[in-house]
Amino acid sequence: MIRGLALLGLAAFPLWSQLNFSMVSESGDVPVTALVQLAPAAAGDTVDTIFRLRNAGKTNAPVTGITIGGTGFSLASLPDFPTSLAPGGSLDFIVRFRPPIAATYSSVLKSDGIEVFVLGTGIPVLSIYVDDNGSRRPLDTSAGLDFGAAERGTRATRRVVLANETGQPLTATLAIVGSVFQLPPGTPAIISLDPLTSASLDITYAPVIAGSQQGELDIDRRRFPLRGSTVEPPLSKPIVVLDLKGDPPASGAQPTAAVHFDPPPRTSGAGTLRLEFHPSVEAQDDPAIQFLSTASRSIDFTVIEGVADAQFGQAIAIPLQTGTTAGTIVLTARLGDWEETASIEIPPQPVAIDTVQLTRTQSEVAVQVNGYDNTRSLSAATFTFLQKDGTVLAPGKIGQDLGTVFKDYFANSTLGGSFQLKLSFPVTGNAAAVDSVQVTMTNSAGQTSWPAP
Amino acid sequence: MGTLIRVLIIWSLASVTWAADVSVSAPAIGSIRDCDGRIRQVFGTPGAFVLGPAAGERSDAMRPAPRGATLERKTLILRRAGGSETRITLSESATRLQSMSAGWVAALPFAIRLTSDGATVYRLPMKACAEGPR
Repeated sequence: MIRGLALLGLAAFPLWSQLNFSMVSESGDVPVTALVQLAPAAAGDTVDTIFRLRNAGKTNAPVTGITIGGTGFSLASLPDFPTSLAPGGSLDFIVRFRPPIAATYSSVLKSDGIEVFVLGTGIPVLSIYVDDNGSRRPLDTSAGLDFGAAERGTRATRRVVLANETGQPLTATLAIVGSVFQLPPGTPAIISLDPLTSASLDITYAPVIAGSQQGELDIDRRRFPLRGSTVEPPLSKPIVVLDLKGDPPASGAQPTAAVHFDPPPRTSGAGTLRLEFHPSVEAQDDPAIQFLSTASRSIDFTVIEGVADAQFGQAIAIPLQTGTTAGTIVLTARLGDWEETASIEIPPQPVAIDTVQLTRTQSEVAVQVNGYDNTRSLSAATFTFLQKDGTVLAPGKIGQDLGTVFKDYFANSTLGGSFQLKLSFPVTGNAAAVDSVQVTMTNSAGQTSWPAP
Repeated sequence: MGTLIRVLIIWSLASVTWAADVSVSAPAIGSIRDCDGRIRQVFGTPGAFVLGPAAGERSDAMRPAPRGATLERKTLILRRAGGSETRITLSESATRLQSMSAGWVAALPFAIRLTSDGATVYRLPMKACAEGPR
């Protein structure tokens, strides 16, 4: 009582003052004349209260400063001094109350010719700590708890310790705000701790969308901000797969290529699959070696989160041609920073004969051979003409040196190793007797017979 | 009489001599009317096709496919004279059948080689037709 009277005595303010303090609340200004009681604050926590200094006079009022003393009190959001307030003018500032321990606190808030007493109460509460790998640091309501950057789809966990460091049992309510922040399943809404005991909570940050995230850990009336940022997971490493459908690598084939992910990608994206060809024989290139659905050596693909196969439009595999030239076909998938390759070695093969056509006139027979030579070294052929009964016509096997003609052809060909060979053979006698022809062709990889033996 | 018989026998026997003329050129499998209705040559060998440039006026007129070869949606149906038929499911939607050359038909983007016991389906190096000659 004596203390209260003393405080009131100190609170007398001069009649000449044009200035007065008020406390700003949601319902409006609450005039402060001599004494103001701030909302109680948990020991160690901060409670901010907005105050207003108003010029109630009819002339400009100089303001040289605003001060507050005493343990647990401080000011924030002050303007630059000196300043002045026009009649009716005001300025707002914050009285910050941060009681270090559970106790009652008092102080004097002063400005030009005006002062009021400010009272605050620190209430006993649980102490809150963050456990960083076994070392504790206090968690306060201003700094809160930052989870840092976490990849979308992953979980980050921080351990919070609630400690009763008082001599009396304490009970606190627990709640969390923000869907990406979660208390452990089964955490009670109210926690009671005996003196000098503690409990820990693993708070999980599980972001599902990109960007910064905010939440709140509420322990009684204390609100600890929770923050985290979300980063996109990295694009997955592509695995280029070639499906030769069980056949050995060879020219003249149409295998398929695909891009897989293992495990399935955690994010979506887009990439490109490119094809290169390195001939192993004397050749510049082979235009037939290309992706069929684009008729080019490049095709874009998309990556869908959770889907293990890249998408080429609607397809998950695309056909390509191996052409008609021996060499190495290299497929390179580029996706983000990834660049993964797969290759197939097309070995040199004996000449591949696709068709042999025989036509006759009265005096000659013409033979047309379609096929390819992936070595581009075709040097010789033989032709054996037969009658309908299988009898070999004279002079028997006819050899033909083709080295020069094919060398000239391949030097200028833009169709890889494919060719159409035409020969005409004069016939002595009845050309109609020529019924069929057997052909052999020789290149650096071996000899091919038609029809196949 | 004996002399005459000997001459006829000799005349009926044929013999072939060394080739008088040899040439090598780029093989052409046939031609197609592409998605835009323009003519394109198909070069190369089966499975290693190269399309020539588009030429000629745009048209929907196509050489009809051989009798017995039809396409129902993505199913190629080959009916033989004996009544038997072969069905081949194409991996993509295709345009209506057109003849490429003897023994070859196309249902873009596919080239189909007709064989005595069915057909072999190849993919041509081209984008599938969004519309075009269907």
